[in-house]
Amino acid sequence: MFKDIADVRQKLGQQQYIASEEIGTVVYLAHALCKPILAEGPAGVGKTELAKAWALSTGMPLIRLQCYEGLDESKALYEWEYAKQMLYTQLLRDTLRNVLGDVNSLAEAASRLADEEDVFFSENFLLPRPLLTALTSDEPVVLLIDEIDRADVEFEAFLLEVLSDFQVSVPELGTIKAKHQPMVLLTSNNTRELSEALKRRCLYLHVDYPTQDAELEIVRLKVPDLKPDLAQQAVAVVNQLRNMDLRKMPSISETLDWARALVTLNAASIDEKTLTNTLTVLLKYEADVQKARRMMGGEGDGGRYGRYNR
Amino acid sequence: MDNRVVEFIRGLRAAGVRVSLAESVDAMHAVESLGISNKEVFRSSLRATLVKEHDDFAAFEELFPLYFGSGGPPLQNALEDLSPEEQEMMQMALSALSGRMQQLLDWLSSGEGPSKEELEEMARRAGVEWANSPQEGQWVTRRMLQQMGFAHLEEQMQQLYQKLQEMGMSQEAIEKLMGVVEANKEALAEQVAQQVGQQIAEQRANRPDDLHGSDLMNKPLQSLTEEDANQLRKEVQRLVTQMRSRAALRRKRGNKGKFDAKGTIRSNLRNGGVPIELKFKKRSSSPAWCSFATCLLPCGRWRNLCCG
Repeated sequence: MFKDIADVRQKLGQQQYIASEEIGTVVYLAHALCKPILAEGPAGVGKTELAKAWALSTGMPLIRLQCYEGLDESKALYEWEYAKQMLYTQLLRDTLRNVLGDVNSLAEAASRLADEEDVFFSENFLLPRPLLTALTSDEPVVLLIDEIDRADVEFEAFLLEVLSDFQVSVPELGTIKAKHQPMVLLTSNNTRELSEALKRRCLYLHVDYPTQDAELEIVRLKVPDLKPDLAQQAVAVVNQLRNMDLRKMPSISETLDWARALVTLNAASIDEKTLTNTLTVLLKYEADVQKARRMMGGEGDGGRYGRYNR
Repeated sequence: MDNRVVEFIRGLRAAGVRVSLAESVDAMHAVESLGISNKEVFRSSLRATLVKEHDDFAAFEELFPLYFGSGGPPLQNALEDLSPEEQEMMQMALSALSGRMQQLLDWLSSGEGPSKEELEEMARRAGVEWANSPQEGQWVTRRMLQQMGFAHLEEQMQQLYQKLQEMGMSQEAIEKLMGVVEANKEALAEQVAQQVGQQIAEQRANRPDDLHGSDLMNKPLQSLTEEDANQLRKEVQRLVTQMRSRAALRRKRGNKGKFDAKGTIRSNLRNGGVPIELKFKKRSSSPAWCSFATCLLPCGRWRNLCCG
């Protein structure tokens, strides 16, 4: 699939994803060792984007499972299509009458019906959810299990079988093994600690905010319409904000949103007015916005943004 | 190399990083697959397979250079560019120095450096077995360098410079020689620091678990040393992470509680025993550590421990 780490980085780069050497190494290892990746880091640094770029660069379809509190097997793995089963029983009423026509007692009818129940619990009535779709797919896929830290601990335990043996057990059908081993990427925003067992099965990748140069490169790649000097200025402002004690730091996706906003507003430079009008694109809490305004206005005459509040 | 990786994993475990056998196997497979020629890739592959907590990255970054080198330049041979006559002059100039300085300048000019055994012996004399932390390691390194005679090195190099000039060695050759010796000085100091750090990490790996062996559990807060406090901080940090996870888990039964059979019977007596209203035992929502913290508050140091 990938020749070496440089090949991984180049192919991800073609999908407009700038991968660090570490990301390249981990993705390469995931292929070489057939292991899932657990990507942790603050929200909005491109963990989900990595899965999308990975799928596009390898030409594999992407199957996404978004985790949330209360997610269970029936929503993640499979469900029996009760409506379809009911419809079939109605449609097959006559056939059923023929099968049960000559019985004399209720017990005999029930036992004969039980012999036929395999018909109703077959793959025809199975509604595959993302996990089963990924396992039974005819071609290898990239499976994104997004925000695993939001799911319950029971679901995490259930995932262990899928991630280590790439198989699932459906009581009515037996064990279903993966036709092709999917490439799995789990993401977590680190709101809670994941179990040791889950971590042990994965390669660990910590994606952090990028360096100023790397972020500038991302902005140039994703928002080519933004003037170079303005892009540099914008990235510098975002980096300065990240050094502050804020409730929520601006993420890369917010930097990109801001860059697009600047393009849309036709901003010539980041002056006080533009900053005041657009700061809410970067910061999502009123307290943070106030703090940032104070900081940028209160750096004194020598301050970089001091001139804006004069 | 496999042995080195295994030793490194032991060092990681001693530093408090939880590395399972399966993860060690993964690390070996990763090294097999990517090789060791590119150090950065080697580091990333070990980190991705062995360390699964962002908080443990610091321990990894601290130990990696100790076991696999910090990537600094190795010692160079300053004598190979000299003509046979010049080499002889150098030997004569060196023999005029005192024993210890002669040895040091010999290491620095030949690019050979002390052997592993010699380094270990020097470290032992400098008291490495009493050192437990990187800070104490720095102290041992300083003592070792002093033992080697680094304090008088500048002076001796000046003397050597003059002596070689007197013997008639060309200015260019002397300048070049001194340049290499100067670079080797840095490299040797780094080698010594690396040896000390590695020895401390190995000692830590061979020592039984500190916390359970110590009487930290029974010590009053007032008599904690700085080291005890650091250890406690680590434990508090671990507990806080666990509690944060537990609070975030918001399990389903957390909302409803467990079924309370007695309570249900009692409250449904008015319905003639028909269980119309179900009762659940609710778990207390306030975590246990509030009371733990309150009882320790008067000590004043609790806050220091938590906030670091």
